[in-house]
Amino acid sequence: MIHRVLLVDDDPRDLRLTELALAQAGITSGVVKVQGGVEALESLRGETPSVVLLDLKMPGMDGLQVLREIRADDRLRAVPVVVLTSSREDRDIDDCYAHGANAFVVKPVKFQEYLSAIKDIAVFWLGRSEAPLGARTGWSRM
Amino acid sequence: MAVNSRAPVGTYEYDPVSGYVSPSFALCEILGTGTDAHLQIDAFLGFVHAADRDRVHQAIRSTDRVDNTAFVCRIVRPDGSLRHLVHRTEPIRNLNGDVILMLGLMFDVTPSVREWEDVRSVMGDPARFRAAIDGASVPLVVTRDTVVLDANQAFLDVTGRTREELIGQRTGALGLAEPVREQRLLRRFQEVGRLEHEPVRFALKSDRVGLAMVSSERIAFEGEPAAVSVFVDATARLESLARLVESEERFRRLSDASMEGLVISQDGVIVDCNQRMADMVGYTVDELRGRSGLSLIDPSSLGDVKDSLDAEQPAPYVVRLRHRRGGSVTLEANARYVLSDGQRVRLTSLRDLSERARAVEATRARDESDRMFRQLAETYGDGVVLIEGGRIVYASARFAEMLGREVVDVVGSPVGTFTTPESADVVRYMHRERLEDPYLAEFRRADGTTFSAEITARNIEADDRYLRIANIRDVTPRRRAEERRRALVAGTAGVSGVPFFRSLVKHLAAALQVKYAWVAEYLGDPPDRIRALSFWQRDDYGDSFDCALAGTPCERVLLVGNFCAPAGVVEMFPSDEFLRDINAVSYYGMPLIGINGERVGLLAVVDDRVMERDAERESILSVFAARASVELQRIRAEEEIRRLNAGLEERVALRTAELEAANKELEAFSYSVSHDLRAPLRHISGFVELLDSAVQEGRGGEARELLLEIGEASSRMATLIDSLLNLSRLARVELRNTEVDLRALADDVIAELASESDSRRVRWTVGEFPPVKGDRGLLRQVLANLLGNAVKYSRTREVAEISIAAVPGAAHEVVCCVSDNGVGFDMKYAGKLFGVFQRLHASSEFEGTGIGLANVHRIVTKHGGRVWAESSRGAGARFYFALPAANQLASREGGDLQGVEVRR
Repeated sequence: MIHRVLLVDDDPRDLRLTELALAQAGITSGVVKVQGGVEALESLRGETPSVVLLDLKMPGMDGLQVLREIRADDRLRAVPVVVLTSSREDRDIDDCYAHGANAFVVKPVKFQEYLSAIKDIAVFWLGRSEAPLGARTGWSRM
Repeated sequence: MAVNSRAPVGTYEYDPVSGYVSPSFALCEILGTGTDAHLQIDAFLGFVHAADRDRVHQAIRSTDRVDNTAFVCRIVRPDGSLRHLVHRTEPIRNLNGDVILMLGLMFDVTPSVREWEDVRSVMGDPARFRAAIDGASVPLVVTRDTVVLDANQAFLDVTGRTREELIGQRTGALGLAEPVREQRLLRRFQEVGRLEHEPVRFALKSDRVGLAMVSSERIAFEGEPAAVSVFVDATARLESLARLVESEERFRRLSDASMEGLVISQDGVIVDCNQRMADMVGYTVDELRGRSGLSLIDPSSLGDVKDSLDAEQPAPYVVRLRHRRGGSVTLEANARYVLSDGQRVRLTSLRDLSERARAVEATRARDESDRMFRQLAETYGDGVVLIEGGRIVYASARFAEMLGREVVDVVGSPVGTFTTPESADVVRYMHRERLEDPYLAEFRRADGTTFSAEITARNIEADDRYLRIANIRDVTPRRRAEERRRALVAGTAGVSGVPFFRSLVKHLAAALQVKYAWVAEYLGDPPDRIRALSFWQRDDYGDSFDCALAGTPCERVLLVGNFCAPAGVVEMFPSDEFLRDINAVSYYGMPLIGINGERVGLLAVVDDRVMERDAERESILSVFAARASVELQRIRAEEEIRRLNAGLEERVALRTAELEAANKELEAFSYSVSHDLRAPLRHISGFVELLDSAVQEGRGGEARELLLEIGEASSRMATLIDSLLNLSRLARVELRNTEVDLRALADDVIAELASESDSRRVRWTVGEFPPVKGDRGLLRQVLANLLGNAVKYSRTREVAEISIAAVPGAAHEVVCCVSDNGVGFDMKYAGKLFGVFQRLHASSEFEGTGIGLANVHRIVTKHGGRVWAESSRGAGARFYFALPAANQLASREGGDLQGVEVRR
């Protein structure tokens, strides 16, 4: 099964960490990284991803706007969107769910927790529970 | 007197004042004495058995009805025979409740007592006792512990009951004795073994109450102890006393030739009345008898009458009765109840109050009007006299004062006494029938000086006297001035503020007979101008003026205080054009004094005639200068309060806005901090993990790269924290406002930036700036931020073009613009630009904490200015900030450009 995961975050370090975490969860291919809302929408115009991991606070077009665009698009309406953000604001949580986010995940500060959060996302939306043997290789390439 | 008795009833009257007793014929017969009526009380008591004398004496002297119960006493007749008599007294009282007469009643019960003694004598023999009971004509009853065992026919006759109704019943239940009284008697009986002539009320069959004298003895009845009692019925005979009392009272009162009306009524129906009563309501005595008393009572006094009917103690009350011919009469009434044939009747005495009341009222009204007249006359500014028969019968104190004399010296003198011989005609004037026209007369004071007065007289008729009342008005100038002062006081009373000053100048001009008057306040510190608060010229209010103080008499007042130029004021103050314009001759001014004693204004009058500085003017001016000073102080205090209040409101509004802004900022701040401070920590944590595996796997190059990342994350964190500290410091810092030259400041900042970025080419353009008010240090931060951003976001350009200049804006502010040819931003996100941690570019693209523009915003806002920006992506950016101009008046010409739209 070919998965396609779209990572949207303005911070390249966060993109790198998320990608690593996904590799730990066995997702070593089909991961697309973009650094902003506009770029995300651009990427979405191509192939439809299996899941979008979306940062909220970004310069220019923010995550909420991206979410709204996805939900307004007939083709993308059904794509699972997981909001992955540093914000813990009730307002943000409410807004995201109100606009059709599938999950709201606060980025943990500790990396081990970050890993397990990403693993949970992978299991739920991508059906992967175990890292394949190649995972380590993927890891070491980073 | 219809007394139904078997034994004769004797009565007597005792007069407590004289101490004489007057027995009736019947009593004389009982006593067995002659009929020479009057006996001293001691002589009367001489008939009484020594053992009973005290009790009789006490009963006669008793004034309290409660105590005068009936009792049996013995008398010894001159022939030596002993008689048993029931004795009872009844006091007769007048309206005040005083006993004026004691009525005594005595009747012979000797046969009953004898019979009782006969019965007692055979008590030991049951057969004879039985026969004695049955044969006795006195009522006898046998009881045991108050239960009736037997009774004779006489007892049945008296009580009106059958034997069956009585036997086996308790005496209390039968109403044969009042329960309390019965218990007391029973105890006495048990203690002493007998009772003797104890008065007992008992219920007669007809629901009436009877009274009997009861005596009891112990007997053995059918082998058991019992009591036999005799009831000597005194009901009828004692009732005769009540009737006697009533008739006696009636007689006394009705025959009284007093002015009182008397009415006897029963159940509201008039039984009898006297002639006086009939006269008071316009009826005859016969017409009133049998009439309802209520029909005579005016509805307005029904309440009082009812209260009196319910009252325990008789008390006088006022009642209004309807007169047969209409109207009503007011009467003072007093009523009490008396017993008549065992029934209560109401005895009312009435005194005509209306006649006396009318007289009193008339006197009071006369006194009142007299008092009012005097009061009026005494407070009146003119003299007032009353003349009767050519002589002064009343003179007001004011008139005496005008003459320099005492009132007592004036009253009683002929009218002409106080005029000069030339004015002797006044007498004739006073005697004229028609007195419409005022008469001018010359009066002579006690000290020989004279004064002119205007006399106005009228004839008046009062209390059948023919009087002349004359008003004497002093018309000398002094008097006129006084009047004017009074008018001035009246004119300015009850007003305050500007109306007060207006009223003041108008009345002041009239009082001092001058053409101009004004109240003005000094302006400036030290004062160099005056402004009129109100100004009176000739016949009307003039326009308020505001003029320089130098070279005016008003300046002199400011410097020296009271100042008067009786003449030639224009020559004294040649530079005062105003005085010249109005042809002023004289000037008089007085300063108004402020709360700290300083001269805050003045009261001035100007005339085109000579004006002497006399006591009259001075006193009027000084009184009103004082009054005006207080008023001005009050107005200024009010203004100060208003100003403070307004300032307070403004400050509160400002502070509220500040707090709201601070709150909003704090909210945005904490939101951003939670995001931005967490990110570097997360990165450090993540890269440390990666570093660990890189080291384990011997990938030295990668480990080195990760270490750099970690170091960078921690320094980014430190920068963030520093920026936050800076921002929070800024929130607390006080502005040190000075005039700031923005050009010099810009040059300074540019020099610093150029040294930091010397490798790049930047073309700087710096324009001219009007001076602004602000904190130099903070404004430098603003310029450093904006210019720094311009450098940063234009670094992708071959040659950065950055300019800073003032642009046209509103009159009160200076608008500055910093423009560059850099990457610019999307106007969609312009709203986010000045928030904390808000970035429109990825931090990877352009470094920065996202706090700089928040700082700019904060500083400019703190200066009372505003900040905004415009751009389009890739087309450079223009940041504007507006600050309050240092000299707002100086930049007035900028107002023409106010409409120019500087924003896109």
